[in-house]
Amino acid sequence: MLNLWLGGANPRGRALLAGMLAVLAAAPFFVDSYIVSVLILVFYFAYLGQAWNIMMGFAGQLSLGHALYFGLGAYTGAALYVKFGLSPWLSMPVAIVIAMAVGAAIGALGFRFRIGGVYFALLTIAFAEFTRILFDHFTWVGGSSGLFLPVASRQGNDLWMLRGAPIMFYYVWLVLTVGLLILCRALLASRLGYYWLAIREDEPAAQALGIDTFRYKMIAVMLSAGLTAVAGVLNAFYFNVLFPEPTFSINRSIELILGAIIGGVGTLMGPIIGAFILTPLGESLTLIIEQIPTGVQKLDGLKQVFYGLCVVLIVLFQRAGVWPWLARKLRLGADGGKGGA
Amino acid sequence: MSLLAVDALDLFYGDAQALDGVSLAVDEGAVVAIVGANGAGKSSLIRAIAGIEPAARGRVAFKGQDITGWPSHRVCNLGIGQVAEGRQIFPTLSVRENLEMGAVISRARAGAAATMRRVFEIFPRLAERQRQAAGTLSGGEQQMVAIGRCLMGRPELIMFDEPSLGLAPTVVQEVFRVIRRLNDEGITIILVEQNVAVSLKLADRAYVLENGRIVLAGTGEELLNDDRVRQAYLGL
Amino acid sequence: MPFELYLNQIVSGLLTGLVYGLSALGLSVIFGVVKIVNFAHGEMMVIGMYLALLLFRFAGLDPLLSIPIVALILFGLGYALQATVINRLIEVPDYMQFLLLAGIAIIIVSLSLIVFGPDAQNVQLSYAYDSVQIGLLIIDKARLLAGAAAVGVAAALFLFFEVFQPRDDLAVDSVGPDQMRVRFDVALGDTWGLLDDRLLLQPSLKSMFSFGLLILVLIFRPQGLLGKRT
Repeated sequence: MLNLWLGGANPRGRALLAGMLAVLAAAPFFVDSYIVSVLILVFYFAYLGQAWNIMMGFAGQLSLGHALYFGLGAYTGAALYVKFGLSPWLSMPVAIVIAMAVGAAIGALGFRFRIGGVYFALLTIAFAEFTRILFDHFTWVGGSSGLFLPVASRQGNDLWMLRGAPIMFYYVWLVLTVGLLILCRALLASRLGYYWLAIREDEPAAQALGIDTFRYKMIAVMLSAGLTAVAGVLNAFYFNVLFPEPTFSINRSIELILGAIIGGVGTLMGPIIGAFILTPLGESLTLIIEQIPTGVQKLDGLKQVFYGLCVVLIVLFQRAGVWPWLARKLRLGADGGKGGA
Repeated sequence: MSLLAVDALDLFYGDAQALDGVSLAVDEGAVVAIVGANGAGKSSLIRAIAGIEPAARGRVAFKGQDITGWPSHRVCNLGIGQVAEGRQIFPTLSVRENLEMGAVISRARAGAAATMRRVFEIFPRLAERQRQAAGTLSGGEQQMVAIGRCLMGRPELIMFDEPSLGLAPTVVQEVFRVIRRLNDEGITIILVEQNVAVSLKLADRAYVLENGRIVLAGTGEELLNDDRVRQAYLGL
Repeated sequence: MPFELYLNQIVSGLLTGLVYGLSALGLSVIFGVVKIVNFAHGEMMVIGMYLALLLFRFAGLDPLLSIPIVALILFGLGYALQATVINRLIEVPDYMQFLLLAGIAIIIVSLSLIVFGPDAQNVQLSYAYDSVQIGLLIIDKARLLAGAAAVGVAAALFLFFEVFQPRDDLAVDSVGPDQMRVRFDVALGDTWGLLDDRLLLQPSLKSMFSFGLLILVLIFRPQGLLGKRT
């Protein structure tokens, strides 16, 4: 079990991962801009799923309000750029600190007052919705009429200000996603990961053994919140426009955990595999609908239906996610695919 | 001086009072039994001592040190272990991983390997099954994992909460034998049991808890011969 | 001093609250019986509203009269959901059930968005703008009727439990009828639903207040505002 949880790649799995990485690093030179934009979406799902996974998958705390941290990151980055011309790399630490502080506040309230399980999830939703409406009235950042980042000039790529072509964003996302994978692997191998495992398996038992459950849950929430905010900053600079409704809504919260749920909650590779399954399917759906003349306006709705369906099917038929199943089938696990549930 | 002294402890769950002025003393090396009906507050008492539930009033002292209000992880690190009701093992972790989890507190970390050898010596069955997922074990074996895991924390005092609950009679005997043995090896025991007769026989001292209050205290033998206890708990 | 304004506002708020209250009652019945937090509860209510809307548009049926029909349809829907999906989830961790119902909620909302579009729809009742005057009070007739119907259905629900006293071991089987009663309120939704609130607060700030209240309740009185702590 522990092995699978650690990602447990055997030499074969590691070789596959390295190969995949090489292909992704070279991909923009061989594929067209459409594929690049789809792959960016893959990274989006993989990264955010991974960040959420720290809280839910590793420490067992369900958040359905991660749009909050994503949105705080997005608005912090965008506002500091629009108002003060600050580089996103400089506003990222600010965004991380803000998101971590808010995450800490929610975590402290939830854990101190022992709001467990589903009620904790409700609490996270309530905070996200509360903030969404707050931002509707927060006119300094545009309120409900939105916040717009000046669109990049076509004069090359400015990595410092994150103004430029999708290819630049592609590599930024790639580096962040790989970086997060490495970070998560290190976390799981550390004593912290061990404590999280105990908390996830049986929290009262972990507490009875002398594990400071409050502290380690707080660390999980804050890490997860801070990392989610980073994606928010990046996303704001990629799309150049922010509205409170789509940024903070529950739909966003669900969307950004889809990769992890489909791939496998609590596994390292799960969010990444999930993102690679989810995105192409979603995109094919888009392409099909675009063939239908009246379909275009309904696109957004249908995508949501598709996402909802994904969740339902996974919960019903492959609860552990696709990755553990795939790892067994392809014999990628450390135990060569025998047993290991 | 007692190893553990509990003084006038009050505990509330919301508006409901679970403990009402509970005082007791546990001498070093003793077996202290706490008996009472379901909902009398036995588990609450253990949880309050362990720092899992914060007491509203009263005082808990361990080796003369006031530990009232200490969080559970600090209490645990003093050498107060517990084997909770319902065993609470980590089901998907192997037996060995379960045991390793028991040694995460700093007092136990350094000597973990030696402690594990001792645990395997006490429970040879666990040594045989150390790679098996704990959730696939029988109830009795799971109880052994739970006790072994607690031992991994090198406790000086172990609080057992209904260790015989839901186990077959032969397994129950085994569990009590182990408790006896641990006590012989110098570990102080607090035993909360529904199996009143056995636990009173084992106990140096015993308390009867009713509605969160201690209504009777004495040596195990005194309580065994007490008419009220015989009527209410032994069905005699 | 706009005393009457406040008074009217409070009364109309209370009437709206009755309908919400009935909906919440349904939610807690489901939770009480099957121990599932029905995250899709509000979304199923939306289905009820649209059904009532359709029945009004195409059959000219007053929403108050379509209650039995809508309730029956949603009974079937709830039953089907229970039988096909939720029964399979009795043993899975809470969060899985919650995620599943969140998924269902998203499907319902998105589908209704596709089918009915994003604009608010209205039932053009002949008495939509009628009101009843009692002293200083001026009450929307539609709102009054909806509130009264909510009270009636809630009373019927309590009566049902009084008479049948479902046993614990019947829990799962009795969910069907429970969900039916849950849905009565559903049809009522649009009798008042999309009329302008004329509130003292901006509507969106009002919902911020609601979420704030939810947060406070979750933290300080998880047993609910009126519940007894256990």
